[in-house]
This record gives sequence, structure tokens and C-alpha cells, in this order.
Amino acid sequence: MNTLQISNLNIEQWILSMIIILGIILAFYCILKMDFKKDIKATGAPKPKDIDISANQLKKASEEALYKATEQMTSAYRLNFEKQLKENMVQLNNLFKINSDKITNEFGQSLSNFHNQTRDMITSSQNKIDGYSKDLESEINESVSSRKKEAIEAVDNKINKILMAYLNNSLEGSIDLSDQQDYILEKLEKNKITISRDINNV
Amino acid sequence: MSNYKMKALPKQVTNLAQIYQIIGYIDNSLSSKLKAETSLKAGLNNKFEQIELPEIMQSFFSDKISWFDLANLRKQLDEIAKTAPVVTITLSDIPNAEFKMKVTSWFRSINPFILVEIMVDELIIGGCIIKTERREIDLSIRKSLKSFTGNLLETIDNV
Repeated sequence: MNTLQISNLNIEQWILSMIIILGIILAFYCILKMDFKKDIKATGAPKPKDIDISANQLKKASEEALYKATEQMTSAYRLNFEKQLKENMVQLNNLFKINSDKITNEFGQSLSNFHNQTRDMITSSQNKIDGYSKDLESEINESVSSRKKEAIEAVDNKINKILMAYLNNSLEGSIDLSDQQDYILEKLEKNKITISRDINNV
Repeated sequence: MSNYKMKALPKQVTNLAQIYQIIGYIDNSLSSKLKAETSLKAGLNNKFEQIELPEIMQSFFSDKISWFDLANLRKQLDEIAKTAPVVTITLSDIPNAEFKMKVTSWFRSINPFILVEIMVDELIIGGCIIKTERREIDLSIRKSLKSFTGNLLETIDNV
């Protein structure tokens, strides 16, 4: 438990100082009383001048005693206060150090977490981008090759058509269907099994 | 009472259009015959009346037939129209009747009720292309030429 002990003076020291002060005052009182009585006994009746001197002495002595007591009490109080303050400052310092370490560690941890998170995000984004680019590349390649194939086929067909048209025009009806009868029937006969299978669903 | 049943389609009847033409004729004949009768009884009495056939139908019967046979024929033709296999043959020119019948006879040797549709495409140059329900068999001269020439672009590149 880290509770600061500020403004709570040590009770024992306080009592002690009070006792000292009272003791001093009492002592002076006794001394003064005894002297005054002595003077009265010796002379019968104190002289006014002697009374004044004793009173002054008493006053001075009591003032000195009071001053001393005050000084002592003040110094004791100050020492105690300083001691308490020191202890509290040390505690506070320790607390601050612990908490600052804790805060620093937490901050460092969160910073490193953030760093790791960012790195992971960047890596995953990079991977995704790589994946997309690969897919895109393969799509483009496929598209290009299919377009190329289509274009080649189209050109091929066109050229074939041109050739056939040219042949047709060149032949100009020289080939008659009646001339082809035997040829066609021969071809049909060669493929009879296949055709028969298809027709009869066998 | 005859129970006429076809064993094969006649050579003269090659395609679906002709069959529907015959069915149409039979329907008209039967309905006009029924309309001509004053009573059902009279109709039944005349059931076996012999009738003349149009030319196309003469291929079915060598002689006159009865109304009963006609109705029977109509039924069979309807069945053939729905179930008979159809083959399409593409030629480079319009064939004459003799060639049509020869080709039809050849196909009828495989299936007696097969229907033969004839198409014309000059670009095949010669030969024919047979198209069945399952596949297309290219027996044309165009295909033969193609197989000889190969990929023209490659050929041009190599020149």
C-alpha cells in the first residue's frame, strides 16, 4: 500500500515537546517562588528594587526557556516533516518509476503490435495483389491465345472459302452430280457401319 | 376387310414434308367423305368403297384401296412422322429424281422407314455430308482438299 504520510506529525514527539515546555515553565516557577520566599525571610519584606530584578530575571529566563523550547519543538517538527517528506518523495518516485516503466512497456508493446499488424496487413495485401496479378495475367494470356486462335481460324476459313469459290468458278459446272453418283454411293458404302449405328441408335 | 400395314416407306416418299402432304390429303378426303354422307349408317355401309389415289399415294398401293385402309394408313404415317429417324444429306448440286431414289433406297436398306432430307451446298464441290442425330460425317471433296492443304497459314509461312 502506497499511502503518503503527509501532515501527520508523530504524536509522541509532540507530546514530548509539550512536556518539555511545561517542565521548563514549572521549573522556573519553582525557582522563582523559592528565591522570592528566601528574600522575604531574610529581609522581612522584599525591597521593590529586588522584586523588579527578580521579576526581570524571571521574565528573561522564561522567555529564554520558551524560546529554546519553541526552537526545539520547531526543529523537531521540521526534522520530522522533512523526514516524512523525504520518505513520501521516495515513495512517489518509486511509484512514478514503476508506472512510467509500465506505461513505457505497454506503449512499447502496443507499438510493436501495431507494427506487426501493419506488416501482416501489408504482406497479405501484397499476396492478394500478387494473386490478382497472376490471375489477371493468366486471364489475359488465355484471352489473347483464344483471340489468336479465333483470328487464325477465321483467316483460315476465309482463305478456304476463297479457294473453294475459286475452284467452283474454275470448274464452272464441269463436275456434274450425275458423275458423282458412283463416288457418293461408294463413300456411303464405306461408312455404312458408322451410319447404320447412328441411325439405329446402336 | 384388309388390314393394311406398311413394311417400308416407298422410295418416292423421301422426306417429312411429303408424309404430311399425304396425311393432309387423307384428312381432307375422309372429312369430305363423312360430310357427304347423310347418316352414320350410310357412312359405315360405304366404308369399303374403293377410291382413287393421287399419284404420290399410288406408291403405297398398286391398286385401289378402301376408306378403311386409308384411315389405317393415316394412322401409320402419323406414327412414322413422329418416330422415324431422319438423316440429312448435303450435296453440291440439286439431284434429279433418279439419284434421289437411289440414295433413299440405300438409306432404306439400313432402316425401312428412314426419312432423307436433301440439302444443297455448292462449296462442298463434290461428295456429300451426312448428318444424323448423333454426328456429322463429312465425305465431301472440300474436306479432302482441306486435309491435303493443312493449315494454310503455316503453309504460307513456309513458302
